[in-house]
Amino acid sequence: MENTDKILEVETPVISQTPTRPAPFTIRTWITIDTGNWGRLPILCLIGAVGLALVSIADTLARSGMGRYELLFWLGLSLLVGPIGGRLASRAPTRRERIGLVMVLGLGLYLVKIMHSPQAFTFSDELIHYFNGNRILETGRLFSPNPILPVTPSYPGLETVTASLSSLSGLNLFDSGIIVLGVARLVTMLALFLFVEQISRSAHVAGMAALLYTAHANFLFWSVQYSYESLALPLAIFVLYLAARRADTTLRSQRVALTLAALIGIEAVVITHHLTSYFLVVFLICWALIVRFRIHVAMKAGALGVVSWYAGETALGQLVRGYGQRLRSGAQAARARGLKANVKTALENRGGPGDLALMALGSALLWQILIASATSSYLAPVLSRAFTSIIQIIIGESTARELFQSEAGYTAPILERLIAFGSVLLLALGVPFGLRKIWQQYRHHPVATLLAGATLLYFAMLALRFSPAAWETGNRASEFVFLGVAFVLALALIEWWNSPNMTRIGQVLIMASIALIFMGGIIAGWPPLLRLSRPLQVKVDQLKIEPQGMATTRWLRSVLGPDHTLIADESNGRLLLAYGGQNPLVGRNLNVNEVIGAELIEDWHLELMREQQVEYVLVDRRRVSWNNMAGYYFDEPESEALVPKGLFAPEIYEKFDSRPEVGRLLDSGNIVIYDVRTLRNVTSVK
Amino acid sequence: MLRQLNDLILVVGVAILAVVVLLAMPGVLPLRILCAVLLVLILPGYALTAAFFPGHFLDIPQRVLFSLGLSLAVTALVGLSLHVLKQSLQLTSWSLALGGVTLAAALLAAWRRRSLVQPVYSPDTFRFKPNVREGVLLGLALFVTGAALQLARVPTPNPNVSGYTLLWMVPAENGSNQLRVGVDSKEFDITRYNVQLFDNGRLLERWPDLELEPGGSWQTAIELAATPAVTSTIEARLYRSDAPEQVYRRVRFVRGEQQAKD
Repeated sequence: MENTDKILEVETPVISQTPTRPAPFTIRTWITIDTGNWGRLPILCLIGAVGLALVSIADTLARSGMGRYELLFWLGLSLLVGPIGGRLASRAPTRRERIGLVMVLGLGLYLVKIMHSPQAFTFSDELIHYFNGNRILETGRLFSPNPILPVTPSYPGLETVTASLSSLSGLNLFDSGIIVLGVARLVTMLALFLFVEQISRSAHVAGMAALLYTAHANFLFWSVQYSYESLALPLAIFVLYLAARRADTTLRSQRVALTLAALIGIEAVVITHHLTSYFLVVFLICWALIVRFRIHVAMKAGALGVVSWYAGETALGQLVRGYGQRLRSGAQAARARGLKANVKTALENRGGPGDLALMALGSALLWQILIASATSSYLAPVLSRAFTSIIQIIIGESTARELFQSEAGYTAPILERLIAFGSVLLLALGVPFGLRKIWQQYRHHPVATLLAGATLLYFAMLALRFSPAAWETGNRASEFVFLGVAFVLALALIEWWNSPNMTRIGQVLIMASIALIFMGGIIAGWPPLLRLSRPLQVKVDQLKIEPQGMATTRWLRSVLGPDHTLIADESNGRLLLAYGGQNPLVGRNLNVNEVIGAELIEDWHLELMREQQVEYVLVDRRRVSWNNMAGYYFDEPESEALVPKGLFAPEIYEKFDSRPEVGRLLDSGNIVIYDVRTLRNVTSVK
Repeated sequence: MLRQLNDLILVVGVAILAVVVLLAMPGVLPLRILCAVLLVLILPGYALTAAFFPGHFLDIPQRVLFSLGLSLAVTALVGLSLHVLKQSLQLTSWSLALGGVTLAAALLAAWRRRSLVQPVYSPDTFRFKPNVREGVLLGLALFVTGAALQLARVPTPNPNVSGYTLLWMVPAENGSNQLRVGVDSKEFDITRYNVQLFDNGRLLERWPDLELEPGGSWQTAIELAATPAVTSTIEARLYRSDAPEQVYRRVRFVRGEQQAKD
């Protein structure tokens, strides 16, 4: 009975029963020989730690203005990823060692992000969610409105967990968030390993897939920022593992237990993040459909049939009838032989996750209707802009986006562009071999078939990067569909690695390719000038001085109190929200960018301020303040390469001085806070 | 039989102890942090896993994943439930709710294990038993990682960035005719200032020798005459002693009918 529940062909540790002479004590043997219980995990941990130390030194040097030593950063990452990658690629490690390596790798890469922003949350979305978490702590209730991104309080999963840890531990929200996200990262790596192992029956493939998944563009920074997706995605992969495990289980009690655990996971995903819950729904529905219509079983015959129809040898009706017959005969054969007749039949006839898919779909819909009705008005414009942009590019009405060029005109160095292109090229070269492996060995597995489809989707979505309005959609989707790429590429790489003709040089080339793919992911996913830490706190004697935006935010809260309505730019608005507890209006929301960016005050500005009960306007004369990724830090010479250099025209940032009824409450040099309550009674500027 | 329940007895004991510590001794911070981490991130998931899978269905890595994953998921759902039940999400409600979930799941697990004859864990137990060499290497790795994190967290000087000064002026909160004027120095050196206050261009008051250290601040309250019938503008100007002719910062406050309404 238990045999069907056990993972088949999973490599298990081979423990020698024969006593062996201990190796002589030398430094070399001490660090190169397997240490016993955990293989080379301990020494690889130490090497990875040295890599982290190099990253930390690079960040510290950058933060302290002593130079941007990118090479040190890459060297540190190489020390962390390279040796672990090499070990995961080899056949030697036991399952236990592989799991340990995968977890160390995931946690190590998480610490790279912590070292980047060690003092506070500084990523644009982090500040929005930090505000939501603080509101939960202050009010003891969920769903407090968020003026910058109104959809976020409707998905309070991450903030709830963080607030619970903060309430119970007495830690601040930042430290609590770091702990929760660290645990979420462990869940990602472990769930991914076990999920792929469940499908492939190989800890070797699982380890490689987990390694390759770390190469997707958002893994290093984006996926571990304090934002709802960072918790939802690990939980979604956990649910996928539960569903895969359940599909291989015939014991009713275990199926019920796995179903219950999956339902808890699904509900948590639904209340945590919209896009991840949609991804989960789509994945589970596709999986259920593949099983229901036995697409994975009929794939070979179907492919041959399509070829035959294309060649004119078979009519379409005949093709469909033949497919139906195969379905019926397959089902009858399965019933006759029983599920455990042999592995292949069992694989072909395993249950689909239809019930879980329905539950996920129902929960996501219900949540959106009852609680998160703002989601559609938030996502629809983004997706429709992306769609329109693609159509316009196709029909030639607009030009494609320049790759590796920011909106402000910054272009990535040529070497980085080459590495990024090279990484995509390597993926494209490796994937066909992985797909062939799936065809040969895994095409009877519905999830393997689905992951192969996700791989193809990944390459299709790369095209979105050419669209100005769609590139972000494509970028965000990559962390979902890259699950397929990691699996497919792992199959290809392991087949090559295990090939009898594989030489040492070949292995080195494979490792170099993995390194290139990893570097390409980081380059594609994060702006170069934000890759290293930036100065957020500067030490002066025994004091720490913060940038002007942070100081004015703290001043506003302490002197005027929280909950004031202000107009501000993108970066200062987020600081006011997160650390000031204010109600800022920023960006494209209500066109407030145009209010700040105009040279003259116009009637509609007055009307907007009156309607929104605006009390203050924060004007930052630096152009970088409009950049919600880079505007929080002290200004340095290098930072100006990221955005248009310098300051706005004085006509823009001094326009409120021309109104005699407007008070000027604070002046910090770059930032001025105006009291515009007196403008409420002014209906026209003339 | 009791041996079968060892882990559950431990879970129940730790959960009760954690709730007691959190509610009765919230001031003992390290202990409080440990209890909170256990109660939020480990115990509920572990107990639920034990309740769902009383036998040896899961090996250690799977049990770790289930414990962490279910803990995260359950904590989020418990928070939602507390909100729906109109309970405030605070120390007491969190402690009791998460402790309650852990206890209930552990009791269910014990009940489900009552008739179990197999060992709770599979024979190929995944135990963490480092030998001396592994212990030394792992200890070194932890030390180096800790040092790297500490290096990252400590603020450093930066010669490429410059300091700044905040000048501000707001009316006093009590509705009187007072104005509060303040200077916050975020300069990197001791700085001497000169503050001047004007009423419609007429010098009202000045503070010529203001010296502030980095991080230092100064503020004062100014008593003004009764609210004027016509609008008047109070302006404060800040000069640095190293550039006495150049206005370094300026703020202004508009008094008059409008201010009276506000």
